[in-house]
Amino acid sequence: MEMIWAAGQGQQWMDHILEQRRRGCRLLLLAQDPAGTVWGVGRDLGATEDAWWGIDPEGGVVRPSSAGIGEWIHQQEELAHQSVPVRWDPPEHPLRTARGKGIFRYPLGPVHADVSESLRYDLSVMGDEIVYLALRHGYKPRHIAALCAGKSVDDALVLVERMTATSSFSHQWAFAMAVEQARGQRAPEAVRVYRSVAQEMERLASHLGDLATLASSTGLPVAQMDYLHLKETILRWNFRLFHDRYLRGALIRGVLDSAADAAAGALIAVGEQARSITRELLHTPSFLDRLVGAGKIPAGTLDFVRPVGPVGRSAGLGDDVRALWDYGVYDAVSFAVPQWPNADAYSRFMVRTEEVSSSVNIIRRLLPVAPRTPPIWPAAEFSGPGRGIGVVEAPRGLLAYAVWLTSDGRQIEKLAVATPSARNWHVVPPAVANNNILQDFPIIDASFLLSVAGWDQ
Amino acid sequence: MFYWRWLRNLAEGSKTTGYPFSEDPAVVSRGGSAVVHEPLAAAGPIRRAMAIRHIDGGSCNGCESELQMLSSPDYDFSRVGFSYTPSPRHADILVVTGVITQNMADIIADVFEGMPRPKRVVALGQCALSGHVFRAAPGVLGSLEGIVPVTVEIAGCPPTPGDILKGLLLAVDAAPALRKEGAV
Repeated sequence: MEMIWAAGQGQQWMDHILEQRRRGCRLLLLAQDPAGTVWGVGRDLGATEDAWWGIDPEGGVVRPSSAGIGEWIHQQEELAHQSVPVRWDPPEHPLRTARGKGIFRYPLGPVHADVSESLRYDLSVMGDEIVYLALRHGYKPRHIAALCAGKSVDDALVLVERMTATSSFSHQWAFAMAVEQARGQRAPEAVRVYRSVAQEMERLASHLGDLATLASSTGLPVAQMDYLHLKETILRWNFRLFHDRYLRGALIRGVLDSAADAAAGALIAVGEQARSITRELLHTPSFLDRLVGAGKIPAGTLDFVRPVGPVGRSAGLGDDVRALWDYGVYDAVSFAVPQWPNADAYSRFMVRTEEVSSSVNIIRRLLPVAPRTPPIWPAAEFSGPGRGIGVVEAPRGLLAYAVWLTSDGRQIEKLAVATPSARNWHVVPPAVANNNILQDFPIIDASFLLSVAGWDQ
Repeated sequence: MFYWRWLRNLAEGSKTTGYPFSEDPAVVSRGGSAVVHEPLAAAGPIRRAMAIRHIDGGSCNGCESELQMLSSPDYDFSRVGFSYTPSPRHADILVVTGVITQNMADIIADVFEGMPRPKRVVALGQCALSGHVFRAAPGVLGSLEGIVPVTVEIAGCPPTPGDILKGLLLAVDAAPALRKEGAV
């Protein structure tokens, strides 16, 4: 479904999107097509078709974040910084600062303790309490979407699978899904089974790594090491099944290694061990005391940004793309979508631990039926040029790709991405500056554990 | 309480690999060769209990993920004397990952400047060596040339923990020990 507004009708465009959002339509991404039209893309619950809301940007466009839409902040910034920038109205997003007697600004980064990505946190503290946090990103953009323009689909895949290593397969799948939609194709079931297995393996490795970091931030190295050992076990299985620890090239490969027959038992054991570590952590007061109530996301922020993935599911927003719009074979393998209401670090921990169990269950059920011989895919025949949207549930949440293909359907004319991290980072500052003290900061940060590479694309 | 788990782990025995001093089929090496640039003697003696400072110069977080695995029980790089340090002032080895963006170049140089001598630089991963597939991107320098002197280059996308461990050992004059064990 497509609706388009002329230049100067920005307010009507925005009113329509706001109305759809109020009705419960999920906003996926904001992008500019090769002809220059700015498109907002949304999808209703259970819908099979996307809603495209276009506006001619000549003379300026109403800034979505100023109208109360926080989902697209990152894409607004991107569109304002391209060679022919979109002019947003109002032109500036109001910047808040913390000033006053006794407020001390504590700059942290881009070089941090331990192994981490480059990002700067400016913490304003009054005594021990954090009163304001500003994040500065942009230290490491690789301009991946711009690099993809003009490349063949295969060459672009090599770039997008390197956007964020810990969700490499999700990027491959969302990109491939967008290309397939633009070509008027849908992957056959065997292909979707294979992709679902790969994506859940990726989720396992990512969540176990996140849990290890959270355990480390609370000073529990035994739990950290136990989680890291499980992550390494999954990475080694990734190598055996898909020939790469981070699943690079797995989408093109399209077939599991014969080692898959032996994998189910080992993966079930990983799930059991993860549950056992969690059980012991839940009996460790020094862990729970640091997590419960820490880094609570304020209600206003939740309504503004509507965070996705584990961060959203731990805040009463129950969205999981796998359940909303089954793109794999998830409807056939019933699985639980964990819901925790408190929006604090403890809820985020619990959601991840429960998702580890459900991923193991999904893999256990799909492994026996996953293809051992390569399916003939992608099909050589496809219909002409078009645009497509691909949406998947990456380890950190809703990941959406939009592609516009050239007339022969083989090259990328334009590509736009909405990563879960680029969206969720905007809930971190209000959650940190919400009655927390400086000593809580590493724990709150580890409870989100978003990817900077997914923000500085 | 977590003590029970700790005791159980003690009873279970070590999970740590002997790689690279002995072969281990579970540890993957993708042939991510390590190239040693600087004549080791010229950079001053540097041997054991090495503190590593990491900087992300524009990575996809794959190299970071593998660096974190080095401290896991499966690789446990502290058994050969390595550890991560929060401060450049305490660091012996600077490990740089990512494509090296213009925005990070000065910061990398500053951190290197802040490290005491003798010191080494390890360029980790294909991006830090050549910019890899992002070479043509605006604002991407694609190498550490002219920013800091690189001692050891470790190839791979991302290099496996086994390859990183081997490369780090080469950066700290461990080549003779590795040769003795037949590992290089």
